[in-house]
Amino acid sequence: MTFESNGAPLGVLVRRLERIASLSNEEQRALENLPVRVHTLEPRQDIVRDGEMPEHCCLLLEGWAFRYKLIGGGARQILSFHVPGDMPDLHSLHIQPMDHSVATLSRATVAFILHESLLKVTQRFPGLAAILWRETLIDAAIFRQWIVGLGQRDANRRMAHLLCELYRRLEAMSLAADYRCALPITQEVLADALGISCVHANRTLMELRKQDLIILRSSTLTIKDWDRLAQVAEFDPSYLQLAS
Amino acid sequence: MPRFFFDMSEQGVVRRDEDGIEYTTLEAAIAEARRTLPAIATDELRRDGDHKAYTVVVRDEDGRALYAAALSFVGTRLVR
Repeated sequence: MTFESNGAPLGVLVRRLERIASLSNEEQRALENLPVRVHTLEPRQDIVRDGEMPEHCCLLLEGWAFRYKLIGGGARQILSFHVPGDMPDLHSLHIQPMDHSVATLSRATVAFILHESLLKVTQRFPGLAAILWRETLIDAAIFRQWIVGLGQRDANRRMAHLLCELYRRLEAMSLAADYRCALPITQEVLADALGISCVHANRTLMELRKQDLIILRSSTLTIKDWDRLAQVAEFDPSYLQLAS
Repeated sequence: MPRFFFDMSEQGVVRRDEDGIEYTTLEAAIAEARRTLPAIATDELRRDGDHKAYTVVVRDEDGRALYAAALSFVGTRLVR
């Protein structure tokens, strides 16, 4: 298993972190020089499993990933969705073993970065440690929004909120514009993220479509009326901490 | 995998399911219907209404009805 240092893959991490903080030239270079091992994975392939003690973190370069927890009886709760630039198991740097799994949603390219390399770079550049800390705090803020949704919002509002959130996150990475974006998420996966049945998820999407808020066709989401969708969702993007 | 269709109705208004969902067995489709009906009722009752009736009919690809379920809610004010 070889980890090579070749700037290109880590540009996406630099761009991601620049959305939430400013990096000095030295910090930027230090990130770009981190040794990585790049893998292309098929859809629905586990990247790291519940209970494992990984020695590296993964950075999503292309495609989508999600975190999930399986419970008795085969039920699955999806905990989060991840887009390029995200490090869905960044926390494994400091807490082990994994208390949930991470898997690809679509075909995806990921870069593995050894914990050892990440620890070294954060020791050398305390500013980077602070930025990664900030990143995990934002991750936690996103979880808080999901908890509010799961506990208090009805299915329509939960779905609307998720769509608003994903759009803004993709837009921040220049992966969405003009209220259109790729959304390679099946109804079954949406249902497991929102804690509802597949039939309920289908009905919810139909409801949003009927209200002329969205079109979801061949894995592409078009938001026809952002203001009204955001209003249904009570979506306030400030928790995402995205610099405008 | 066979495809099942879930026609839901609320207060007698039927929404025909044109898409359907694949399940390995009828039992799995029935479990889905059991889970969905009360969840939809819960969402709807948050909004309003003291008299609500929800039904679901699970069909196969030939349109044959395989399972039906009904759920009703009746709320009555006892004081004015």
